[in-house]
Amino acid sequence: MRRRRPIAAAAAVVLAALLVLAGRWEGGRHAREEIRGMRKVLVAIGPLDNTALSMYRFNVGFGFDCLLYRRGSNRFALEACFDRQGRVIETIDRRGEGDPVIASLREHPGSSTIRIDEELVRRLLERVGAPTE
Amino acid sequence: MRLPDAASAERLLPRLLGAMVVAFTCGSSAVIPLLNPGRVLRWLLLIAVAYLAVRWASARRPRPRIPLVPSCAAGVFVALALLSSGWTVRSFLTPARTVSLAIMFAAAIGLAGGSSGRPDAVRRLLCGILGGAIVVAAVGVALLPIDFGDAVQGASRAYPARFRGLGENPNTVPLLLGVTMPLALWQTTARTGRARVLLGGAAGLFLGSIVASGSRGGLLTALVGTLVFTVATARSRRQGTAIAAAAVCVAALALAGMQLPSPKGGPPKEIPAGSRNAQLVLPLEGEIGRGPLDRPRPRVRRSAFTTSGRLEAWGGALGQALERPLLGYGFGTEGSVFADRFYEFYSASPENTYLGAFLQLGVAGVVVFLSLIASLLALALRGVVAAPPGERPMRAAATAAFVAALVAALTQSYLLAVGNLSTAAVWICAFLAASAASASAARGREMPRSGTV
Repeated sequence: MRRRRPIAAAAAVVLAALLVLAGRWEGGRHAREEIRGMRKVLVAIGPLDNTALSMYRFNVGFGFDCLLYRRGSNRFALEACFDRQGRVIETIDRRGEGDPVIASLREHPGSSTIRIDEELVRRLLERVGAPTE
Repeated sequence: MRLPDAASAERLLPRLLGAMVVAFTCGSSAVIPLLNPGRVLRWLLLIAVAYLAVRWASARRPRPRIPLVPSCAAGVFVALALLSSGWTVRSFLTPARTVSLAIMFAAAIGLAGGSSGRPDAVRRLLCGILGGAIVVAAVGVALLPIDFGDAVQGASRAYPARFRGLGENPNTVPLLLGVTMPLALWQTTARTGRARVLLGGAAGLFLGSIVASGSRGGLLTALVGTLVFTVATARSRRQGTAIAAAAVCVAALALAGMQLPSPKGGPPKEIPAGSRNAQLVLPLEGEIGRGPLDRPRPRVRRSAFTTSGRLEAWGGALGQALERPLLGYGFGTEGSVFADRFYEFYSASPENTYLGAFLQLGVAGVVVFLSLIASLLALALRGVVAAPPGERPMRAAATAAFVAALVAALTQSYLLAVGNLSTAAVWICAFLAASAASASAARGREMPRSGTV
């Protein structure tokens, strides 16, 4: 009985470590998939300051901003959202029929590895009429 | 300052439980003067209850029986929640919420242990919870002439005017009243004379508050709790069927009454032509289910049998949970992770405790959570079946409260959010109900050895 306690304690520690590793691996895998989705939309948008820039969102959710790009008659076709540190935290593709295709790391912006110049975002927001002041 | 001894703890605990229920309500109230003191007081009272309960249980000789399997399941769940700090998306929130969960379970297990084998003690504790709920309901009504704007949520285009009393919104207090309805019915039937009239009035106050709030979830919770209590305590099948049928009729009438007030109606707010603010034209939180963008926004029609957009929201939450299915996003992160993008849905959480558990701790968390619930339920139901006649209504009331709470958890995210006004009361009722079965089993095992019959 006495020998079982240290073995059980050691097993619990090993299990706990494995769970933490598994949780972090799962979180990393999810972030990589979302970043892949965001890159596709950013490629479709092209340079952020292109002439298709049509609309904005300012200070929504926890305090992020978005730029929307037109495709044909669809003013909302492509959207990219940024936090105040310039990280891309969400993209939305509304070009198809049905529900939009969303790639998002809103719940954990720190895991986004795609960064945009914040000054550029602010200029573009002003260009489309966002009340940035 | 001398800390209370075990005997004093036993006397204080029922009153503290009642005060705790009121404090949790105030701590999330729309009544601003009550909100800030309530936010602090609720945690102080929870800590006090947990401390005194554990002290009371520890002082019992011989050592009391606690419901072992549910207590272990609760411990494993807390351990998993704490471990999730290693992968959470909110590094402060997860450990903080885990600590509050641990304290709540310590309170529930301590109360179960301290009152083990002592029906009078269980009765006083349950009456303490009921007393708190009665105060919440009564103060809510008293608020009407004092501050109508706080007591009643004004009508909007989607919703009619709804009574919210002391609650944060019209759904929070009805959940508490629905869960404690079986306790009110138990005490009404257990008492006589004027006490019976007053407690019957309290049950009527609960129902009236639920109807005035328009909360279908609260009504369903009250109905389920009433039906379980009735089935468990009816003297005959015929009596049980008759009372259950009456309860269903009352609920149907109440539901019809909820449809009487109408929303404000009228056209949606005008958006300036050519506006480039996408949040005005196509809000992120109302995009899915809106329909084609080249058509005007559809009108949201609500009735007794619509889901208020819950089905779409649950689909969205499930999709998010399946992106991290094994271990989730971290305990306590439900509100941070769930993204409301659904046209007919208005909430920061998916409004389903089980989906919320999946979001927070993945399959691992759901398995442990369901094990905890199943073990509590099994013991509680066994306790009702094996109860001596004098104890059956009490055990049935506590069990009915837990069953009602589990049904409510299908349409509300709350059972893992300790700050919710009903959560601590629910788990305490569950552990008290389970503890009765543990104590009965112990008595059954001890009796042949002692030679008594």
